[in-house]
Amino acid sequence: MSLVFRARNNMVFGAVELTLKNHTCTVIFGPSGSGKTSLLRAIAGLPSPLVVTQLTVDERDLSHLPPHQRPVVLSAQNAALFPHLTVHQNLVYGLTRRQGNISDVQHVVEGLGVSPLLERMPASLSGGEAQRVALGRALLANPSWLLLDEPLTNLDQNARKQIVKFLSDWRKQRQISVIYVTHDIPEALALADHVITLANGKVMKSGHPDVLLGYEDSQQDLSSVLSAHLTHHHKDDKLSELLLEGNRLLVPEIATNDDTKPLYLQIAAKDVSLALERPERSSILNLLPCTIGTIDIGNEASATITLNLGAQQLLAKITRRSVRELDLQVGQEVWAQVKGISLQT
Amino acid sequence: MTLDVLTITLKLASVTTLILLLLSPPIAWWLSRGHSWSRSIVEAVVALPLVLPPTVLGFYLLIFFAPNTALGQFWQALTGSPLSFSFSALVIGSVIYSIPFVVQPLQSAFQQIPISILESAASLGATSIDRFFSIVLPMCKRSFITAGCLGFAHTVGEFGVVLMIGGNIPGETQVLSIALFDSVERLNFTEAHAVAGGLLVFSLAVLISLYRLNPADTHSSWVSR
Repeated sequence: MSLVFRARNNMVFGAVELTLKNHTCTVIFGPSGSGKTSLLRAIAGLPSPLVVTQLTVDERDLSHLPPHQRPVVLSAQNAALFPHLTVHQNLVYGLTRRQGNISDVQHVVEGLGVSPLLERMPASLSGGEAQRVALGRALLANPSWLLLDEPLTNLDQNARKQIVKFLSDWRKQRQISVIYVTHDIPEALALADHVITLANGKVMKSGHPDVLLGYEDSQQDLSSVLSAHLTHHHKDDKLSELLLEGNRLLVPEIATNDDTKPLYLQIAAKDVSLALERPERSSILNLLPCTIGTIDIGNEASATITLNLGAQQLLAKITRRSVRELDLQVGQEVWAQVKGISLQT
Repeated sequence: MTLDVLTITLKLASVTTLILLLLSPPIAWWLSRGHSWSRSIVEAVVALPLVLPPTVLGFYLLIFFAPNTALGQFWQALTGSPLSFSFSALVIGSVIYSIPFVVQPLQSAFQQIPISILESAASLGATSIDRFFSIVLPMCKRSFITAGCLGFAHTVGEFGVVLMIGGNIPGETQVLSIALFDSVERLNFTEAHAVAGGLLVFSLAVLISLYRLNPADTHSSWVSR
């Protein structure tokens, strides 16, 4: 039982092919413009630059059905609540049309924390509140495939964690299959059974959520992917300051001023070195206090260390000799010195 | 002048408005969704009564309604009476004459509905008819009222088309604006004053209520005027 999707895009790229198992959560990852939204829209039956050549769910052909007849509900990034209906009326719009379960309303309303909003009109909601309502509306429509396009971008970290937990429980309990687009690594790791990374409309990687941590076949390219937020720019030094799990990080000045959107950092494991004490008077600007999660001594001269940094993980590649000489142990607190960061916004 | 004139005028305006409110939404909807050659042509045809002298429209309709044309003969066969100089002819003429006043407010209201809202509704299981009644109609309620009032008021005020195709038959096709013309020709200024003053007050009242309904400083961003 699965969803099979094949499409081509005549304008930019070749073909996209996906086979997704039922009752799983697939997280789609990728920079802006990589084709994530186009992919979801094509599956939902909305206009998209992708030309669908095959779309089947459990071997039933959906490719010629209009959106309202597909067993698929797409919740778009901008919430798109109905402005003339109250929050409650918005929540049940899909429920009444897709034979949802009226007894679910209470559960979803509480799970998403929208009970104080039920009689409000959408114009009076904050961006985060509107996103909660849009998510609830999609859940209550009771789809077998739920497509969520960056559904929690306007929520703070804490609210996001709560809602991700609720969504994760809900979809397991109801056996809903989810395709989830996000920029946020912790969110992706909390939800995903399967991760697909896209770039330029092509599937780059597909598999276990570990693919996010940048495990490459070739150990040469080992890198980790982390998410941080912009705090401000240091114009004189041509640097931008980011916040990564409570730590300050300086990177070459970036073009955006948007401090709400997570920035997607890639740090090559070979650019991370370790010190037992905080290095003073070093030319390296970025020092991160971490805890050693795992130490993987390979067959070659190098070892791979997984460092826990808040909820995120950073990989370091150092020599086996250094592991021995510094006497590194799992659970030990160390300072990571980061030499190079590449940003994928 | 009798009460008939007033009755006929109101009846004509009501029937015309009703027909326009049924006919215009699909046209306005189609025009609001995209740009193409065919849309530009239909848009121009709909707007034509705004710029064309009403007598030109009336002249062509008169020719078209004549008993020797296909439409005239069809009508004769269907109803047993000629189309020209009938109340039905007035209704057809008025519908064509007033159509831009109903289509245009609706079209601009429809254009202001974000496409993402309609897509959400579709994805949540609403058919296109359902989307029209559950989303479009309530979101554009004010514009429907505006369109209806403008269509009604404009039909009450029409003169040239009615004169050309109605024939000014008292009790049948004589409406207020033509009765006014008649009164002036007969130098009956008392009657003329009554009709002219009445039409002036009526038109002003309709417009004032429309502007009250759609204040310029509207608070909700989605309300379309």
